[in-house]
Amino acid sequence: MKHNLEVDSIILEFDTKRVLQDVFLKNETGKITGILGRNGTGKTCLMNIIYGELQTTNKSIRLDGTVISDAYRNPALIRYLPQFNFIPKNLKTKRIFKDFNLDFSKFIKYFPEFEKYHNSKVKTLSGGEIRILEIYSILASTTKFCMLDEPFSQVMPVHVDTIKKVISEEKKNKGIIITDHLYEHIIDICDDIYVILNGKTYLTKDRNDLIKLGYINKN
Amino acid sequence: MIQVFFWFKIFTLAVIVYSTNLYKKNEFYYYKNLGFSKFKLWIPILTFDFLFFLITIIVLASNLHETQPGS
Repeated sequence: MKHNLEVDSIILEFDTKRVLQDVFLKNETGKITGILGRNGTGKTCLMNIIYGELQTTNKSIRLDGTVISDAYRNPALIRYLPQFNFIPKNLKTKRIFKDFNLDFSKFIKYFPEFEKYHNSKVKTLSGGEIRILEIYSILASTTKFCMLDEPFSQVMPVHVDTIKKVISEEKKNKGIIITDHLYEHIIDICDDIYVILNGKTYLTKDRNDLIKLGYINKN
Repeated sequence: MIQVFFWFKIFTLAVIVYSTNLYKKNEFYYYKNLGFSKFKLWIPILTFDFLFFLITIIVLASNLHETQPGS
């Protein structure tokens, strides 16, 4: 079944500074929506607002036409990968797979080098390995939508390609919203790309729009 | 004396909640992704901890009262 997530009418202000003011964003099952923008333009804030973690003066977030406010209360609707490490370090890998109801053998098919970590605590893994574990737990678990904040950072190129494969596979069952400064990967996998500039979102068509909006250079 | 213990317990609970919310804020996202808000996590923990304290203090107070009547 197809689901739609629509976000608009968001106003976010910090003191007198207006960070977001004219935002429109749409995602649906089977699609990957990218959000690009310079540092401090409000990409992470936007994700936190959608997730219900950050309160604003005004917002409208609709899932299949129904307004949702605190999305984090229902992981069956939406899951969120923050840009920092969030898995408690004392947990064992197998516990994480149990909590998120995931199949470890399926994970091993994508990342065979993790087989030895099944019974290991997260703190014994490297930073990049922890990040892969986090990305996979959010991406592969059952939900209607998932938001990934900088999933490619900290991860080595060969694993970035595997993560892109997992994303393409998982988009069959859910809608995915993704942001990362490694924009080449975003361009590569996304169906729609929005750029945030001066608090507004602009739906882009191609690379030229990214140049016009000042996100990337001409050369 | 019991009043002092009571308010000390309230104070330590407040310190624990504040410091955990501050230093473990990133880890809360793990539980949020499983459907547990901060509120859902704290309520059973604080309830159990406070009830355990309350029962202990009542037992201690009644024992003290038996061994030293009028205390």
